[in-house]
Amino acid sequence: MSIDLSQFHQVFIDEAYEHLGTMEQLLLALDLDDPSLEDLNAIFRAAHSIKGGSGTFGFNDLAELTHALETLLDKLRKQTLAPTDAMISAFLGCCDLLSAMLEAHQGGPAVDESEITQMRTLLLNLADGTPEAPELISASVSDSADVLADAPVWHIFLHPQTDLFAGSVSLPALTEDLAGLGQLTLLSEQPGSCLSWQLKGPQTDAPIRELFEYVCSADEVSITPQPAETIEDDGFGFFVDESTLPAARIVEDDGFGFFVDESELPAQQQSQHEQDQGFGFFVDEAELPAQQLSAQPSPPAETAIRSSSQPAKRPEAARAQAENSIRVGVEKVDQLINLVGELVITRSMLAQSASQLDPVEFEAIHNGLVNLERNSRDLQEAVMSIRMLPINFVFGRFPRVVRDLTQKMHKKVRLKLVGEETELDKGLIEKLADPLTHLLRNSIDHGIETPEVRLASGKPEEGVITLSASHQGGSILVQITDDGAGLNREKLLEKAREKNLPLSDNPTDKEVWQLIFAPGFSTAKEVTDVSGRGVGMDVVQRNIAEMKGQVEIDSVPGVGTTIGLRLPLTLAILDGMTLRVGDEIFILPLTRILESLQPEAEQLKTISGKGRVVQIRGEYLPLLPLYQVLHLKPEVTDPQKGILVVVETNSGKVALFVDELIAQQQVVIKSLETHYRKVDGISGATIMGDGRVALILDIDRLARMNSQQSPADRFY
Amino acid sequence: MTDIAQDSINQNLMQEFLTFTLGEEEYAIDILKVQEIRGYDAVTRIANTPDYIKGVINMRGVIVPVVDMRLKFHLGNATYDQFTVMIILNLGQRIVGMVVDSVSDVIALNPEEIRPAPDFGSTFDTQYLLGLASVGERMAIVVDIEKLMTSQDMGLIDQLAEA
Repeated sequence: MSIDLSQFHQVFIDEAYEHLGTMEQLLLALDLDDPSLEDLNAIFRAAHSIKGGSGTFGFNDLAELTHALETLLDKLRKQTLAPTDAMISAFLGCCDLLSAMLEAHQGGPAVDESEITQMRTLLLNLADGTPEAPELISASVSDSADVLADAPVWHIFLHPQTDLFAGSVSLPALTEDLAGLGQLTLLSEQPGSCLSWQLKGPQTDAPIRELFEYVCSADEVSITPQPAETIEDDGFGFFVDESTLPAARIVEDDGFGFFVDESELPAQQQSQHEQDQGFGFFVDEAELPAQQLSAQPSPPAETAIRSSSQPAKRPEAARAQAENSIRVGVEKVDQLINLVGELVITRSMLAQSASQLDPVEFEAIHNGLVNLERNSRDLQEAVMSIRMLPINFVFGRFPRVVRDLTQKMHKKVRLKLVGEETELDKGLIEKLADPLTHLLRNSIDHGIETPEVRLASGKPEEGVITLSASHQGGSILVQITDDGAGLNREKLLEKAREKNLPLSDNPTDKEVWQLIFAPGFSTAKEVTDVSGRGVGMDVVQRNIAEMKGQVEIDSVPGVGTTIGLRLPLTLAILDGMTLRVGDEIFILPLTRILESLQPEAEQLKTISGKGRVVQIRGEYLPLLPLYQVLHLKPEVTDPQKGILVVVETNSGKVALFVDELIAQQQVVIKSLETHYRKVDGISGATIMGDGRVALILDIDRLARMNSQQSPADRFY
Repeated sequence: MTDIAQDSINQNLMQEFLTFTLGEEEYAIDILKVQEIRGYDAVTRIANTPDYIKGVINMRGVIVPVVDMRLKFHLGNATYDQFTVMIILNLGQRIVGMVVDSVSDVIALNPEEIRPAPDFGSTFDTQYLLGLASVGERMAIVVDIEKLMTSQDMGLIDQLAEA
């Protein structure tokens, strides 16, 4: 059977990246003083999977390096060597090297051979630190190993709901029964909870299943085939390699398949590796012969069914388990979102035309439209949610960044991640990475003091940086908090004077903090390669503003600094209020609206040279007549006859004066810039139910335009 | 034989142009730049823009600006009724709608039939002209529409982005 392996290359490369990511994460989380065996096993598994895959697909350079990596990891997980900091660094370096090599295979720049050799030698040297210890797991070696070499291997996983062995069942007896069926290896044992074995011998799972019928219910035990090294009988037509399609990822139950949960995987994959190292072989005297007689000759029919379903199921199952997801290009998702947007618009057009039809005569049409509305709304929500990803996709890279930076700068910093599961639009997530990295670097470089300084000021030696994400109303708040020195007001002011930045006589803290966003502003005494060149905070602010977000700073000297990034949930859809001026329709972002009212005559005041204000509960808000700023022909010019919408802008509250509020509605944001250009005071456009274009107001910009207009232009 | 060969060469070099009128003048543009021709309706006005930018329309989900050439070049009467036509142009990455008095014809021209334009006599700046061509009795002004529409004069494109 010849298969074109290259069709799997992308899958392998994607998986390899995933494994590398997992490894890196686990390595960083590893506690050197008390390494968790489970984590070490997981790291080992990741390395092993890469090695297996790269071997199969002919990426020999990868395989060789991972082999060295695996050798060292193997010793760690068998506890013949204790992990050291040097090893972790070597592992991380190796991860980087591996991903560079993967890139090279995808057409990226080639990796220097000597680097690879160097890394291999380093790993092997580390591995040779202590002599090899004997194998720990599984005891006796079977004589019949050769005979059974080609027999199928089953993975048995028992997860009783009750404590089985406390009752009538005896564990030794059960293992003996199992051993009677073939070569048995005990993979993991947690008395009272989970047990797993690997059994080599029976042609089908029927005898094993039968055996467990006496012990527990069918759903408490899962029996899965593990692909053997060679392709056996007529059963499984399609194996690439046992290590590339990590064995037995779906549980084969006669009637149904369910996914193996995470906890089971360690045992399974370990088993692949252990397979050639030794097998326990137990013989039972009393019960065995009967069992074997009844079980071994399996019904041919069942085998046939199994074999037909297997080939198709396997690769699919392996991938499904990998992340329970499919990979789809972003552009496909965006296209889907656009199409759904069109559908929603078409539906509203239909609804509008149908509203002129007699509801009695055309009842069916009306009912149909109501259903269509519900379905299209659900569809829109579902499609939008495809683009949402947990923010962990960005947060995930930071433990590494922090580790590297702290080592470079001889500081001690612990990174705390909060709310990693918060979901955010994919487009935003990608754009967040750079500003966040920058802020994090700043926190480590400028915020957190050196251990000596910290101890001297009575703080714990280790600084803490908290990276948190949370939903707040219609937006997402991402905060970076450090417990460092805080911003230095005096230093900032001094620098501002030096640079001749405009400043009020007695600036508030908030105004002073804003200074750091000025281009070229840095108070760092010396320029490090980390930060201090003063190109940064202005870029951060610009990036965030591009995402329609805001940057907030809060700092207390000696206690720390918090930088908050407030971002919209998604860039594609907006909750808006439609409003009318003359015969033009506009959309106002709903999140900005505080209230709306019709003012009394005594609430309106004119301030000489500063235009009109409206007094609302003791507050004087500037009046922003939309028709003036956008030069429209309004229906009413008297605020008492129109309506005032109080909106929050980044320069304070303003009262927007419009003719009429129409309705609240979700709109799909379309860019004006695709075919036109940026329009002052307008942030985008959307298509209304009747097919017309409506513009979305950029309220911050409008407020500024209003205050810039000379008083002479104003309408008194 | 040679005539046929010559003809086919000419055929290959022939380019088709769409002609339209603005006031008294007839203009021709490369037909490959034309996406479609449609009636003038439902234009959303954009504030603080020159009067010749009529606003934006929804072209099957795409938001497209509309320019009234009659206003831009002070030709003809800018009236809007059921006979007003819009030529939708597809210029590389951009789509632009252009209002004209009327669309007249599709003509095929050989490159040599397009004569260089004298440096006067046209409302269009000569840098946007490819030349003049005679169509029967009349004369058509051949315009490099892409260059014109993406120029600073039209103000259709963010100049910041260009710089």
